[in-house]
Amino acid sequence: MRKILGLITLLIGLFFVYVLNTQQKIGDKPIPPLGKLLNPYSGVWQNSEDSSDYEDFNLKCTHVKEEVKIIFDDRMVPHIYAQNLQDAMFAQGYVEAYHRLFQMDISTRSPDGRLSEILGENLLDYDKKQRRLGLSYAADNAVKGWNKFPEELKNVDAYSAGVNHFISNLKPKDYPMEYKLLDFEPSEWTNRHCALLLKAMTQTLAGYEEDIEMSNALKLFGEEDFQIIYPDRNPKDIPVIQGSYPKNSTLTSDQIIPNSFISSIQRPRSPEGVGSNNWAISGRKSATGKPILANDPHLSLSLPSVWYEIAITTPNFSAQGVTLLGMPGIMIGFNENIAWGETNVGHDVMDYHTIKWANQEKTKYYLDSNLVEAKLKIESYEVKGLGTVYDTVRYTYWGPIVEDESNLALRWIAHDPSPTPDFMTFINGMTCENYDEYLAATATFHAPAQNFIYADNKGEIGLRINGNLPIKDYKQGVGISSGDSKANGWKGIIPRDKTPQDRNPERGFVTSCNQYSAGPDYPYYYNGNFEPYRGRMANRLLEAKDTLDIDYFKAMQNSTYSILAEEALGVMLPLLDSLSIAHPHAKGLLQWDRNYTANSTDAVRFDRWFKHFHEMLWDEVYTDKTGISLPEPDMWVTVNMIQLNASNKFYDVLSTPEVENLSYLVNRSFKYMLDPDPAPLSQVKNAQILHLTRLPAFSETDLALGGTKYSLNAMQQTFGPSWRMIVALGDTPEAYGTYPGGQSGNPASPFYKNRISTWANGEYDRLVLAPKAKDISKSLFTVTINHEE
Amino acid sequence: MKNSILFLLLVVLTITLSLFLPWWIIAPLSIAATYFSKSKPLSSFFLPFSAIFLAWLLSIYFNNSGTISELMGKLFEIDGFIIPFIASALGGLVAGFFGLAGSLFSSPKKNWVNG
Repeated sequence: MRKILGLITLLIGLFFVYVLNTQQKIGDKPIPPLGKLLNPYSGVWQNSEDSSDYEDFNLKCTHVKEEVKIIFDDRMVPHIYAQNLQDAMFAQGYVEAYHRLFQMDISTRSPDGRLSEILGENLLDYDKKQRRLGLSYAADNAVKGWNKFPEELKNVDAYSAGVNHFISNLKPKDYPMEYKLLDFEPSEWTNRHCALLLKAMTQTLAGYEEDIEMSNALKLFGEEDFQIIYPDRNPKDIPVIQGSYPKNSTLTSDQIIPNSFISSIQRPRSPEGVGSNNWAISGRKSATGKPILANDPHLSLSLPSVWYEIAITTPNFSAQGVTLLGMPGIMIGFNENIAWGETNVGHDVMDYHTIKWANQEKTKYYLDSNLVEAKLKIESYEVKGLGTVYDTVRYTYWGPIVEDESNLALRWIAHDPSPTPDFMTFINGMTCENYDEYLAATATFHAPAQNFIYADNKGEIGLRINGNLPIKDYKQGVGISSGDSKANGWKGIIPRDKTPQDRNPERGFVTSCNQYSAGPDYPYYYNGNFEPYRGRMANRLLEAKDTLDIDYFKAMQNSTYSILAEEALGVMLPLLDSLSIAHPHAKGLLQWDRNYTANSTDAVRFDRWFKHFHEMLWDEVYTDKTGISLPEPDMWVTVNMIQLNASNKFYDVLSTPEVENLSYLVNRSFKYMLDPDPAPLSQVKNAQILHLTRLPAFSETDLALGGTKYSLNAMQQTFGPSWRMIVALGDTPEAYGTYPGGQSGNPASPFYKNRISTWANGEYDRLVLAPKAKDISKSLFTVTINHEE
Repeated sequence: MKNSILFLLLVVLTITLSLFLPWWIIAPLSIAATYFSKSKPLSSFFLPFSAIFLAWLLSIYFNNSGTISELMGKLFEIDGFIIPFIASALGGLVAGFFGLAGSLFSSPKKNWVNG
């Protein structure tokens, strides 16, 4: 009896150990293995971090050739001092893993379609979508391309070795706490992971298309109305590169019009656009007499931040700035002589083609009247809690079939192997001393195409639209085109010397804010996702004064002024009837300075009014068309239309027998603004910076921020300025930077989100370049790496 | 007296062995302790329970636990202050059950003497 009782008790004990040592589920909610997580010796308590943990330590390793020192300054920014470039890259890999290992892991799993391996079945559809978009295939292609450059690749090898050196010396108790929560282990880092990150960046920045929706709209509205609702180009735009081109005869509107096609596929409306600003002024326009450069990329904000601040010094150069995790080198930064940065180019580089299958199994298709076999790629997923799942993806001449039911093949620049190694741009960029060197460094970059901006202490400024941009016929790629002939494909890549660029322009500045690359007479057709107001605002502010300084640049980056509101209200307020114009809200809007400040209620009222107005005007699009996906008309189309046309057939609301006019729409939509009384902008916006797992405990949700997607400070709910940098070139650079996050990825670290408040207040940290270790005034600790035989 | 020694032994062994063995080392430790000491069933549950509870609680506080308690509290949506106690109680429960099993498996003393 005693023994039986003993056995029962033992089983209960074993059951407890099992439950506490494995991940459990209560309903739909996953419960981490509580014993592993909460025990004092290998659990989450080991991740506690405070100043007493910052002690110097030494490493020995076969990879480094000579001694490397990494000094963490009082902002936890690593300053790497190495005797050669590859040792520096090793150290970069090491420190990035040291601070952000989980982030590097999760952000490569996402493009690779491997999230369900650690997060289970819920992520399987997401994983499949990523693989079917061909991101993992694209990374394989990139690596194949890189392998042709063994000398350059040594830098990535060194970086990966640095990451792996950190991982291989990691004990389970030292795993970042997310590993303990999700119950998995870090895996080895390879060069392919670096490629995956580049592809994830391409997806974020050049993963935009509305081909299906545009094709639907073209068929529904006819060509004439289509051109009015969805024009290619905003005539008010100030392109990135000004200047005219010789008239080119290849662009006439009677050329290819995409096939009309109504697809049954419903997709979510495209997310809020990502975007960025950069500008640089020449010495003539600068208070210091030397160029000043500013750059603020706008991305989805997350904790940890997408950016990691770093400084790298070798006998050849000393550079500082930010890097995307997993990408060796410095992406946006400066050295003793030059400063550089990027904004995104919005050209549409993602096109769909219809496939005409020759058999029911969809393994053969017609191409130029030949029968071609589709390549079948079997994708497998090791889903946590479910086992292996298989999925077959058909690859055609154009690219993968993303959704089998659609019969649409994707042609996407991300799939192309790079003819030269992209990563060298951010490694060589650090070492440049003049513009010619920088142009050579950026020439190796292909996708996603960027507006690369440059300034130096010799007085040069420049901006180049840089990357692989396809040559297209007029309107090609706006909608879906037929995939049965190669003639419907891209006609090559715009030669690099034909991509628009500026060097020391007469006006004394260069700027790009994701607007059109070049004027309407640019000889190559392009369309895509271009920003209508920030570019004009930057131009306006840069032209407003003869001499500009660092403080002016800071104010520019933090400007919440909206040209959209200025122009729309200029038409709408005068059209209000006498009763409405006397309303206190209308009076408020009359006096409103068009700034989207955090505490503004006028901004909220205007947004509400304009949104209703916009949707009433385009009732042709917004009223239900029984399941047809249509693109949303751009807000600037509305603004331009009401400025130019007092009457227009689109003002009529189709669902009423009467014929409405502009004034009716303005007054009717005004009523929507009156009730209820809105909260201030910051509350309506409810800005938040979420941890990569979206766990609220690790996120920052207590933020009161202004801004709109159309102001230079383009802060929206979760998208916004992810890094603000200003560099005044001179004998030594005077630089400032700020970002919403912190250097450490450890939620328990004092450096996890310590920089958010500075950023939120529109303030900056001084970035002091320290070419010599002794230039660092305050440091937390030093890591010394020595060669081991 | 014997119990106090056993208690201390468990606390010390838990803290030292856990540094290089998995957290569930407390299970074999507890079962062995009560099996060989032939504790009475009631104390064979509560003695390992309290020893491991104390060992874990001390170790957690020694690890400078404030921020972690707060984070875990937010995560599990309970007061962070009680997280170390919950953690220690989980360890204690495992130890308690194994301790009880150990005593039930060991033959009672009088049988041993008579046998």
